[in-house]
Amino acid sequence: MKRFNINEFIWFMILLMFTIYIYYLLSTTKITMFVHPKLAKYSAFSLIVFGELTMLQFFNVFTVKTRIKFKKGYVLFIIVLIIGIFIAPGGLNSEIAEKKGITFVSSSSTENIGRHSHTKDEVISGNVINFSDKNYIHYFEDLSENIDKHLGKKIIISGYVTKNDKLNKNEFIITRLLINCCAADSQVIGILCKTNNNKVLNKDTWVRVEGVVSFKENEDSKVREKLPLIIVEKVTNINKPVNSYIYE
Amino acid sequence: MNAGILQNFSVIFISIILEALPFVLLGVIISALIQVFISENTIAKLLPKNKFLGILIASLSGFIFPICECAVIPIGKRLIKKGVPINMAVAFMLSVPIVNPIVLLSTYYAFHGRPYVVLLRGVGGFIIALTIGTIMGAMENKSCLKPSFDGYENICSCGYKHSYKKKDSRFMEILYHVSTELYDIGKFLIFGAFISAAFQAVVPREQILYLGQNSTYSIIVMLLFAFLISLCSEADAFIASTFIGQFTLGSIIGFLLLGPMIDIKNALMLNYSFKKSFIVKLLILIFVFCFAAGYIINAF
Repeated sequence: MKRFNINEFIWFMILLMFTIYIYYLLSTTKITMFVHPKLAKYSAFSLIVFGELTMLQFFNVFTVKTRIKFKKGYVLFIIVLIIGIFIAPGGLNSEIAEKKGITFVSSSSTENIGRHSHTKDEVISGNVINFSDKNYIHYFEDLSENIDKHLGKKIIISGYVTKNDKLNKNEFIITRLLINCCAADSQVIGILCKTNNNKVLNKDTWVRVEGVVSFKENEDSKVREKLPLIIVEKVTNINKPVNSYIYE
Repeated sequence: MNAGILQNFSVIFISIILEALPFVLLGVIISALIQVFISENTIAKLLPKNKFLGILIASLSGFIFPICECAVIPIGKRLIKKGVPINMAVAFMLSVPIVNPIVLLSTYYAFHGRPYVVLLRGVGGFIIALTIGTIMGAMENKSCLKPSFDGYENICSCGYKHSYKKKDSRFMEILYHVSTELYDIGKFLIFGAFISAAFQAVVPREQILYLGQNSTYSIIVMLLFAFLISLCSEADAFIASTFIGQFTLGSIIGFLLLGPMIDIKNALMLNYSFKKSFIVKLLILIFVFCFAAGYIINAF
């Protein structure tokens, strides 16, 4: 009897492709496009398990065919591989902001957007607020909770441009995507910006904004609250960073 | 359907799978280890004689084994197969993903200004797990499990273990179990992730916001939302906190209670080992009790 089992072979190929795919994501660090870097070590665990299973499965290929018909479930695994390899690599785009909504932390809500509490270093100090990937969340929350303390200070912040129908023509939102665990739980965080020049800003463009901290009263909610607003002085186009997410 | 939505869907889809995979694998491995190393007799000796004490311990075991909701399903199935009573196993499966230090800590950080949320989540989760465990234990027995071929030992009725004549090692046996269980449970993980990602990429949040302040509808909306978005219980607190002010507190607590207990991904994964009647009863009980918890909170 021919010692080749097509079912086992397909499962072998699936396990092999998954092993290669996870290895690829980890070695190119592209995995951070999907999950928070802190979870990368768990994916390394997945890689090891898949690797072992692939090796075991290799031997199962050369067994005699059994009466099990072709397992339709294999199609699902193959779909994952196809989507992962061909479609997903672009990363999240700004359309997601329209679906998930944008989180503007304001003076009346003191919820944290991440798992941390502020140490002294992480709070804004001095008169120039320079946002970086590392301090983004801390500064973001500090700015919102203590807006009065920071009024008038100079601010430098990068992100991509988002617009929506509720804004005036000269307003836009400087946005970043925040990831806690995986892309599924990502939040869109942004600060309102007001510019007085006529330069057209397209959405999804990456920019660095320099301006002055101000506030806007939020008419939507029942409580009168202050939303941070940046009076823009200068806008510079920048390249989209290799890693566009902020990780909590 | 434009390219942007397809792109977002794909990223979220893959991310749910990548994130859940290590934990599903862990659950499958532990299940396989229990299968190979722990006999029914050992389990029978370890179980507390007192039923109530048993279910109490099961509901608190999250503090010793903080396992995520994905991993807990293959383990729960294996425990029932090995003779653990239904009431304990169900209480275990429902409470471990909530009543554990990691999740409670995340909740604490997410709701920084409102520490009572942590209390409501922990205590609520504990009580609901206990209650549902007891009810399911009274209604169901071991026959709630689907019959399965463990290790495909009897495919050919010669009784021979085909693959392992030469290498009859425990290690290989475990790997073999892991491989087959991975296929069985993986199908449902993928399907569930598909539905979750589609929901996130297609449905704008605005559409559900306007129901936020109604004390009854807000709860229903948040429960369905929790069911459909399949977030891991570490991160769902942060998503839930973004709804403060827009949704009633009861609905947010309902979200925090239901999410770790069941979601579309887990409901489908349960299908790999449990009969549909069991799953339906479990779903109804979880929804009812989480709704009740939310309603009571809103009433105060």
